[in-house]
Amino acid sequence: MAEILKIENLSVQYQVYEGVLEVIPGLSLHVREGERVGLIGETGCGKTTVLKAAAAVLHCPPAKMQVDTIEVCGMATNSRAGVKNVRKNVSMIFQDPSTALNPTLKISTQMMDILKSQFPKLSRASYTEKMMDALRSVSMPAPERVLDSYPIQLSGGMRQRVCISMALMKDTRLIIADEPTTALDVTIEEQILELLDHLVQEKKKSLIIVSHALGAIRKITDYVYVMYAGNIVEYGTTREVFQSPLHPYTDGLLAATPKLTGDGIADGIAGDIPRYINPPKGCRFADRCPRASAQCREQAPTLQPIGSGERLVACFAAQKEAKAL
Amino acid sequence: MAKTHSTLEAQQYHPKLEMLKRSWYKFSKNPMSMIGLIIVVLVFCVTAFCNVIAPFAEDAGIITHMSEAFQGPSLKHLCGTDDYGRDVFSRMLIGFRPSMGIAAIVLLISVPLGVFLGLLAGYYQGTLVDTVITRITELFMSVPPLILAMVVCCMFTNNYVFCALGIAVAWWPWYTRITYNLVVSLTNELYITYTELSGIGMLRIIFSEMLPNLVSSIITKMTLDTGSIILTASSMSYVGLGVQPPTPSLGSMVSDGVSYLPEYWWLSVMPAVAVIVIVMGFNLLGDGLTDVLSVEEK
Amino acid sequence: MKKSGNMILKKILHMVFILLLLSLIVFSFIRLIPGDPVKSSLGPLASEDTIAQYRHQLYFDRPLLVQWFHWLTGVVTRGDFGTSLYTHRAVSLDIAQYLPKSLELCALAALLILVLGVFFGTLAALFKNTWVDNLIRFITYLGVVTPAYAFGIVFLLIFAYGKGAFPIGGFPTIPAEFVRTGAPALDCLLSGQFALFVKCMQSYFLPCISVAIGSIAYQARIHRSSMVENVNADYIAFAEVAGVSKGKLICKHLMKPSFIPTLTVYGLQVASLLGNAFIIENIFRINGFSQYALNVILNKDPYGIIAVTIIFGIIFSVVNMLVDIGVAMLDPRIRLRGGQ
Repeated sequence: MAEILKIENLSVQYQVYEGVLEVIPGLSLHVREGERVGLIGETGCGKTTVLKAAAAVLHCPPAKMQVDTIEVCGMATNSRAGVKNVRKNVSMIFQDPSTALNPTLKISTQMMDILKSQFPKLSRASYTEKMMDALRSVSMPAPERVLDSYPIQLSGGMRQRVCISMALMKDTRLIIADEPTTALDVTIEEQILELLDHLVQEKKKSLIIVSHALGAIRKITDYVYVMYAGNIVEYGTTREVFQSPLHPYTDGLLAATPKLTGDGIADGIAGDIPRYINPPKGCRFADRCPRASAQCREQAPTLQPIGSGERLVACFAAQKEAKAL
Repeated sequence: MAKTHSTLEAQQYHPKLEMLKRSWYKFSKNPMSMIGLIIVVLVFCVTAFCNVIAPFAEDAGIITHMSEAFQGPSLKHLCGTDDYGRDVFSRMLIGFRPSMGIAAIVLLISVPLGVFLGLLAGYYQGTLVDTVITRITELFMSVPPLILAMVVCCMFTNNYVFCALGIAVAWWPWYTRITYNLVVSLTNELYITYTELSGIGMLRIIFSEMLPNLVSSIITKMTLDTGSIILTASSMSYVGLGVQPPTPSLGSMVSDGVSYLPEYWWLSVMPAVAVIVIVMGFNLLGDGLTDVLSVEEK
Repeated sequence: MKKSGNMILKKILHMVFILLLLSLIVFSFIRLIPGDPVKSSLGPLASEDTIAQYRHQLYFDRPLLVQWFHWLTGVVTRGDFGTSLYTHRAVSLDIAQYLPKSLELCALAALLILVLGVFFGTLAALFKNTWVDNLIRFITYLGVVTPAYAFGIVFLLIFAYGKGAFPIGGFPTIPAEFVRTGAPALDCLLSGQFALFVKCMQSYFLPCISVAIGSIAYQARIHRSSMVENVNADYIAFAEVAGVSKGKLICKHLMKPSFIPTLTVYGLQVASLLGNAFIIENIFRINGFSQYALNVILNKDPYGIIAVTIIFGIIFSVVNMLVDIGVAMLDPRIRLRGGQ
């Protein structure tokens, strides 16, 4: 299957007052046609940065980006034509719907501008029809009223529905969803994710989604990347990763999710993500890892395939174990 | 081992000192802020010791040396001499004093008054006290500051104390507004509610929680305002309000020199440059402080 | 629509209330002036009788509130601001003579501030961290810290002996038959004298720039920083990914929210402009309202001072009200909350 999104060896630094933040040291990932891929990890590990780079909206200062290739639908994004290609093929849903909509423009105006870029010459009535359709497709009640509103007149859930409808208005092949439910109420979370999943499957799009709702990730994705402090530490099919996590971080992350059947409080992972200024030269997880050895502190592990399938892990302990088997 | 222990202890003991050190480090890394600081320190030194520094301190008065009139800038007279043969450089340095004096008087009046009324209005939010104070501030803000200052200054005696009073009358409402807005936004924040729920008195909340926040923004505003006040005062003295001759003031020196333009350009250009440098110094320092303090808030 | 009408009405009432209060305060201040302004205006030779009569005529022997009320009814019913002790004629005549020209100067300068401030701010923001940005930032910093009179002097020096297109001081004389409002440029336009209009505009050029330049610089700095802040906002990235064209993204999606802080500080810039006009009219020898105001203030002319304060108060309050309405129009968050 063709790769819709391919990122190779992306590194991102932020120049801040205190020095240089090495947010992402070197990261590669790919999404193939029709795949739904999850990206999980703690807050602050650089997930949003990766997604913004993929959507070509990571603006260079303050971020300093270096990358071997970012390809969308087989075309590099580092040219004007490449960016155009990204705009044609990628839509993105942002984390916080209250900041993703322009506070000073009506919903209709914002949707109209997107439509106009795609269908430059249509009658006013057919624009309106298209906007109504888009809102209906996210099962929005009273779409006329929503069109005539400003973002602050809508609730958080409604705003995110609007955002999703706007992202889906373009007929793109890849949808990037950056924690689409984090800013929402838990009760709405499920609805929104189901809606997203439904629309993606219906229109046969590819999806890359970041979410803290691991249950939802498990349900709606085919593959999953686990990210820690700017590095991919594990990759595999969602089923395999969730059933038998190889990296100790994945292990901890999954254990931190409260289970309905479990007893007592879920375990967390002790400690914090390391500071990005002068990060440790070995494995970035070593300080928090129960299985860390001297090697882990000296040398950074790289992603290595495990077993026969598409399984990658960046952990010396896990790699050794697999070899022994 | 013992050494690590003691440094640890020191760090725990003086968190404020550590923070100050951190802020200073950030501040000192920005060359513009440092230039501002140096200018401001120099301005303070000149203000304090102008009589000693000025090469011809006696020229501040009505002395005339007609034989030396209208000399261009030279080593002896750095900024030339004026129509009475007085040394422009000395007069400029001595002119710092009234400018700084006016700034000091204005801030001494408007900051305590403004902050007090702002705290009062914020504390009694939504009551009559709040309404009255807000209306009064609006009243004083309804006339452009320079005009209000001129009117007040002229109605009484046209000297530099009343000039300062006039500016202060136009200035204090801004401090009331800042303080009021800060108090309102802070009381809306959750942590204040929590403190309130925990049973600590409101007054204590204001003093322990709000004052530190307040102090940093007031200090920044004061620094920036010193520049604006000097600018305002020099504009007033340009049209003859404030310091009265023969005492030199920067604004009146500029306006006296205008009639000799362009042949004797130094008469008005030099003091104008002095005003620009002083105001820029305070602005750079204020911007630097804003940077450091707002980063701290994050 | 009705909601915003209500809001505007409320603002106007509020403004009137504040201005009434202002006039009362100024009246009481004037009563506090040490010395007797009536006596000093008539000179040392005036007899006690004449002084007393004049005092009575000017309501200075009545209680403060009576005097204030008399003045107020005069202003409201007849547009009569009392008699000036400095020019010895009706203050309203003085206003009619001097205000239009100054108002025109300030209006032109105010327009200049908004247009040029936004233009340079946008330019700097679009070319952030390039030499264009650095140059604009450097110049605007200088502009903010430099007093208006220094600019006036610099322009005087530059244009002093050049017989260039921009005269310093003085206006072309407008023939009496064309005078309608007293504002030279407007009169020329109204009577179709375009050659004369161009001449007026040339005369306005230097004073206008000197009055406005500091505020242009400040406005440009504010506009730049608000645009730079908004460029990094999620909604711009969202609109960009969604494919909104570059032009629309900048002119509409970025510009509209960026205008909010710009417009908010605009009222203050108008205040500093009105103040600077005092100095600049003096430097360029424009015999306008600021010059009149300065004379009235220096001569402690009671009715003159009140008229001057109130007129500046009205101008400033109206500008601030327009700014408030403008901000509310731009920002639905304020508009909708204000309606509640």
